[in-house]
Amino acid sequence: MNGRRLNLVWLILPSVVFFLLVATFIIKLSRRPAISTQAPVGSPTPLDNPAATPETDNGLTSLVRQIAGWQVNDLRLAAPPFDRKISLPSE
Amino acid sequence: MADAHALGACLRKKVEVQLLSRAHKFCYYLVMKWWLIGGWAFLAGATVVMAQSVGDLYAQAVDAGTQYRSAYSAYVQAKNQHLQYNTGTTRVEAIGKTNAVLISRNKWLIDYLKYLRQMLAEVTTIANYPQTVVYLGLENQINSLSGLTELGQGDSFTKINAASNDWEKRLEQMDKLIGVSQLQISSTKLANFQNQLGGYMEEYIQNHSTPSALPAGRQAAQATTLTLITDKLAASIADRKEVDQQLAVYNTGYWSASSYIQQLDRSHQQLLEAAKLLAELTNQP
Repeated sequence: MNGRRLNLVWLILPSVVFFLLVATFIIKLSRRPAISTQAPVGSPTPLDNPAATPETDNGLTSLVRQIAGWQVNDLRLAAPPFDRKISLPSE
Repeated sequence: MADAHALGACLRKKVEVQLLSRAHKFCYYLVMKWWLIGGWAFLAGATVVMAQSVGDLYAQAVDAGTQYRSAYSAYVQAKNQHLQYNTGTTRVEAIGKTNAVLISRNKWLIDYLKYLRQMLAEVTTIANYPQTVVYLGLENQINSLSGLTELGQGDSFTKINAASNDWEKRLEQMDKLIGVSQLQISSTKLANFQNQLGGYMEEYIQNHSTPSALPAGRQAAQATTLTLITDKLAASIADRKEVDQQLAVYNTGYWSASSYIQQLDRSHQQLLEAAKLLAELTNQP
């Protein structure tokens, strides 16, 4: 009886922990901000400003924006620029 | 009364035996089911590693950078004070602060390499041999740096300087590896953009393959713009592919990351111009 209970503990508890971790991972992925092609809420729409020429916000326009906003030497990839040499005077 | 005492003693004994038995079985399971426990622990560990997103690792690297900066300032101050006063107290202080900065510097580099490794894996999906080589290179460096347990344990200036020099000898190779990783990430992102634009171009050509009712002059202008877009996209792809070829042989001789960054910059510019022209063409009535 005890053996069975222990078996269940070893199987169920880690399973619960594992699924919680997987769920956290999935939630994290789903909460990542996606690049929106929609105008922000409150920004003037063509109806608010009929004089403005409505630009077709298709996939290509979004791609142009993405290419323009991207840089080869992305700042997020740059290492902090400071002195890495460390030494003490000889005794 | 005596019966009640005897019953109580008997119950206590039974409970004790049961408790002993449970503890015994628990220990037995710990020992005998090590593979099960180990398996679950490994699985949980792997999940934690998987759950660490690029954003998390970037934040960790930034945090480690901040800690390194502060440890570096403390080390400079302690070193200067020792140079000025040269007492036993300043010596101990200089040793302590230098040991601390050596640990911070190592941790900062480990965290940065972990971030880079994750970024490389997510962006490139380690799809070819050169990317695998760089990924494993990063992995080896992370493991090697993590194994430097004697770092920060020096009790004299000589020992500390020797440990620091040993660590700094890795930097040349490390910088090369970091440069290659960054270029592989950038090149793959650029290739994705190029493929997407190529798709939109094909779509445009298919949609305009039938004779249109536009005036001949307008049609000729459209054809010229399309040729221009094709040329720019081809030039962008050629530049990027050249860098890819160099990335494949980066560890066989002289290699300069900065010249390839310029080449990728040029490729990016050509691609942006081509994309803008195609967007204009598509948006024309």
